[in-house]
Amino acid sequence: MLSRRSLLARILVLGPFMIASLLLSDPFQLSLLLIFLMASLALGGLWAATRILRFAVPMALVIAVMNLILVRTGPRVDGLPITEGGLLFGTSMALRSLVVILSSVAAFSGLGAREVAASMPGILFRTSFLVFLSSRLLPVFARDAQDLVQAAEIRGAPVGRGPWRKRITSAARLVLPLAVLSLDRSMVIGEAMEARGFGLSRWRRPMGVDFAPHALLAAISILAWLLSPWDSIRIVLFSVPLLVGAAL
Amino acid sequence: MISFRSYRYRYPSGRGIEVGDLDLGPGVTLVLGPSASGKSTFLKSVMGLVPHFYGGEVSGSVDVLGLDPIALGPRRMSRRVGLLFQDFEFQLLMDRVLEDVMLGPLNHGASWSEAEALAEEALERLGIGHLAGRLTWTLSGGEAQLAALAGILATGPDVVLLDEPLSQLDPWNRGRILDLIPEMGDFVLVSEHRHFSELRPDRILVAREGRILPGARPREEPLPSRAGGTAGETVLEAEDVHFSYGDRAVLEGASLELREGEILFITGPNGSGKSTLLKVLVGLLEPSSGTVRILGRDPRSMDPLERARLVGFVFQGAPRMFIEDTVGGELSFTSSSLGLRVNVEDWLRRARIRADPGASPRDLSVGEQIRLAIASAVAHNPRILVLDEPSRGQDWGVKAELVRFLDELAGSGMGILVATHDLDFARAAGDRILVLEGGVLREA
Repeated sequence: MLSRRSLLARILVLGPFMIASLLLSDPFQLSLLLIFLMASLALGGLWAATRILRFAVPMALVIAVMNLILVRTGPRVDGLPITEGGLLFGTSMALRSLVVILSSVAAFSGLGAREVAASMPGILFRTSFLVFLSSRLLPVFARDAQDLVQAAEIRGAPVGRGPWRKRITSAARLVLPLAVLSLDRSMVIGEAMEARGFGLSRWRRPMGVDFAPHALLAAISILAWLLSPWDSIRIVLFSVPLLVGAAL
Repeated sequence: MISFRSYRYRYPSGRGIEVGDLDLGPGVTLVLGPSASGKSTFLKSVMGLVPHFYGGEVSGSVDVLGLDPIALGPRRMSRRVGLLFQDFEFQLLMDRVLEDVMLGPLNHGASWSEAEALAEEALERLGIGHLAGRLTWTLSGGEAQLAALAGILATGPDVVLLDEPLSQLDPWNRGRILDLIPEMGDFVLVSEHRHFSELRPDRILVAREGRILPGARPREEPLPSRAGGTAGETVLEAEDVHFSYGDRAVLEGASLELREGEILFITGPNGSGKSTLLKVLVGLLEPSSGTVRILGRDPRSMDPLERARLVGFVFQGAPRMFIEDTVGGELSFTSSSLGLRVNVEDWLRRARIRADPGASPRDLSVGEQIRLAIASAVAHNPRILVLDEPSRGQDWGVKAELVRFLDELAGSGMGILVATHDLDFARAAGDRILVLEGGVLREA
């Protein structure tokens, strides 16, 4: 399943959807592409990424309405202050934005900073590792903060309750101890990195086997797009290999 | 051979160690001494962390298998030397256990598959292969300590430095690690507060006020036992309590009863859910089923102030939870929220803290910090005191003081519940001991 694959494998499957959406302008074909993309997400275990639609759909509506108002080409739609060109363009833009947002969110969905960094060819090892390490520490700092909040609560000074002034005062009280804790942590982590030989060797996570089948399927998909004799079945021929890639 | 010649080190703060001339041959070297006696600094000298990481002044020389840690520094020394930190939780740098254990071999040039094989072998050797896929920040203290140790062993070091490696382990895991210690490397240096009889070191060093000297096996003294008290009415009861973190069930029908004047200990293997149980009992976590009652009432339905009036809670690693920047402020924290006044001087005397009320809590000794945390939790005279691992990493003297302090508090009618993996401490201070295993409590 795509959800268990690297960022590169995800990009190989989802990237073609994004590029195709930029090449298409017919709302029907774009709708079909969106349906196939969502099917890929379902097959690839990335359905959770569709939660972004809660924000993407209103945004797409705004894009559609703005284009309806601004694009004044073609005949006017009966009884309405809009043109057919505006309607077509607005709908296409809205559908395109949905495909682009959904595929890019799904590509990164559930990946940690280390996986993302490790997937970037040529990225500086130390930079990517430190980016990862910062994200690794977030749960630690969050736990520290939670422990402190619980310690304050059990000692009769709950944080985030009561009038606003009290909430701010109680939260501000924890800033200094949290900063001291974080500094202590940072010192120990720095020491541990030294003691574990960080920087002696620039290791990388091997990515070779992970994305090879997806690269092949993406190539088949692009060929199907280019060689398809009929526009009406182009999207289907293009999408089927990607659906297989999502399920792998 | 590990050799020190006229070696002295001073931190920028002025504290430090003096080793003089010392030669350590292969085998196990046990470094014994109370808290803050210089044991950790001694181990860090072998690794090159001092002076490299901390700065300060160094004189004399150290030779570790022909290498000079003062010149090479810890990064290059890590090819031959591995150090398990006292603060081992932060030695875990990656998000998954397996990848963290792989980190050392990868840093030393192993391929991904070689590192994976070495990591799996190290995890199996310590009997924690099942933790390979776990997120490192979800491990219990004992599990994290074993994972950090696996990270050291995976690199196959010649010299293994273990800074209080047994402090977090339950007796079962401790026994296994004690058996493994002689096989961990050609040279194994272990620092501990006490001499475990199962460990048969080839030599013993004693750390005392910064001086590291050859010593002899000390006479083992048991902790002074609590006199015992009279248990009164029930102050805390739990019945058939269940709790899960997602799919992972932690409590599966735990029941207990705590009476006033009683000291009840909960022990159990690492990761058995002792800390979680305490948080459920005081209402910080909500059980998925079952009932908890504090003086007949559900703690989750209580107002935080009302609950604080009845329960004092001291977290694991309590000194990290200090909120105020003065000793007096810490002692008065809860009482001031309740509108009560605290006799700070009296509590400093009762807790045997030799510090000014205006001093910073972080400047106290380790033992004073834990007693301050307890005194702060009980200064408003609650009916129940709950302690999570109060003896963790404490030396004999501090534990003996803790037994006395808890005995005094229980004598005033307080019901005291303590989670610990330290059976000696539990036997010395407890009226009853329950074991948490498989999510349920049973009499020890």
